[in-house]
Amino acid sequence: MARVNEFENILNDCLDRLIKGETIPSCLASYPQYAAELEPLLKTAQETIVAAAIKPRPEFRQRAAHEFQTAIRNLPVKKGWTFKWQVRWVLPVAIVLILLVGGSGTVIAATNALPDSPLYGVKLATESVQLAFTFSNEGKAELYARFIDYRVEEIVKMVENGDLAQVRLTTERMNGHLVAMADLGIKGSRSQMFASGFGLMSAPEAQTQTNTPTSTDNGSKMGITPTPSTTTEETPAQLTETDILIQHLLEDMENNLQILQDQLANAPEAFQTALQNAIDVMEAGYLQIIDSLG
Amino acid sequence: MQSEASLIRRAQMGDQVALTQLYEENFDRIYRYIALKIGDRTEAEDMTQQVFLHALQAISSYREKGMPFASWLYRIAHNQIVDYFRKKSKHATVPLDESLPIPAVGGDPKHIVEQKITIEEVVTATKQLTTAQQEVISLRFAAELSITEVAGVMGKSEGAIKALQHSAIVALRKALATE
Repeated sequence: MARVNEFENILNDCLDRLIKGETIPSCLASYPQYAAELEPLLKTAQETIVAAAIKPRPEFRQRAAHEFQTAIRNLPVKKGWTFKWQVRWVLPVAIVLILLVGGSGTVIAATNALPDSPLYGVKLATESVQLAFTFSNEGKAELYARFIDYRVEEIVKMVENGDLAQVRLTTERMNGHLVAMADLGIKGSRSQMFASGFGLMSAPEAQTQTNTPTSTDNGSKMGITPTPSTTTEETPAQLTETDILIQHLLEDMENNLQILQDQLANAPEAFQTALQNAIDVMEAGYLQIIDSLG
Repeated sequence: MQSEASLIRRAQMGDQVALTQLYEENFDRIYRYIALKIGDRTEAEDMTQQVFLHALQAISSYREKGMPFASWLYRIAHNQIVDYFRKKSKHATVPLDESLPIPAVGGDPKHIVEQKITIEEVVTATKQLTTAQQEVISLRFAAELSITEVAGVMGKSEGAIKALQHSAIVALRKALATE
């Protein structure tokens, strides 16, 4: 009986390790006396883990999040009339003010939170709220572009922290942003996006790597509207707005790809596949957005 | 770091940020849990959405009782799955043409096809397990709960769950071998 219990504890330890991304040989090496008994069970478990790693489709994730936010706003309020008014209006207004003014310590602290941080949930929640309160497609596109930059930074940090599972998870989140951005149908509202600097919101590291004049405009990154003449002066007359947008997207893609490729060149072997996947996902995502522009 | 209890209290008062945080933290694993149990993408999507909408409507009735919030969500999901199978006349039919989503994105097609077969095989094989074995496999490998959390959700001791996990994997191995 004691041996059975010991084996079940060992099996459980190995399963925990497999779920976290360790390999079967690594687990077996820790328990050589049980290796023959463990190996077939761990192989089955591995198959199950792979099968269970199913992800919601990005379009479903986006639709479900939107409906959930709508349902939150439609929640019936059970208290008195005055309080009902306060809950309905004061809370959203307060959230908007927090996001605009940056007055919440938790939200501020969460801004730089990494996926393995307890505050990361707040960061994601804040992003969801920002999206929920951004009603124009060009505004959403700006947010997605910024979130993609955040995810790239997080992937780099998670590789440095040795957290493979978070690298994969963050790649999935990044893919979700890319797909959502492609689904926005941003082609019809190009002018306003140029005015607000859409596509120019690369990570700081990426910005230093580009020589393109328009992409170094920090005012654009902060949402400050440049004068139209600035854009047109620096833009060859023969280029259409779509061409310029595509050019900006390509710059964004190149900057972010460069960051990931630099990381890939120095990453431990265990992270190579996950990083290459992140690169592939990013490239395919950007190209899909560009393709959607026609 | 705020405790889950304080987060839930805020959510119960209608705090949008708290509700969104609970949603974000649990969405993927509730989806995986449902998808692995029913093996149908469209149904899993609808059901996942329903779980969270139901939870939103009922959150004021949630009482902690020493159990994590996630276990309450799994209970809602479990009840929906039970209802789903009750309504379906042919339980054994896995709609493979509405196959599950593929985890890898941007991978090569060969890998995706291999992945798809594995998903179908495992979903089908899982249906040959006992209800408790299915539950422990789904909670452990799809929801990625720890043994302690699974024990909490299923109302059993950790030792019992470890034994159940062992027997479930043995049974799953046999089921996969006979396919």
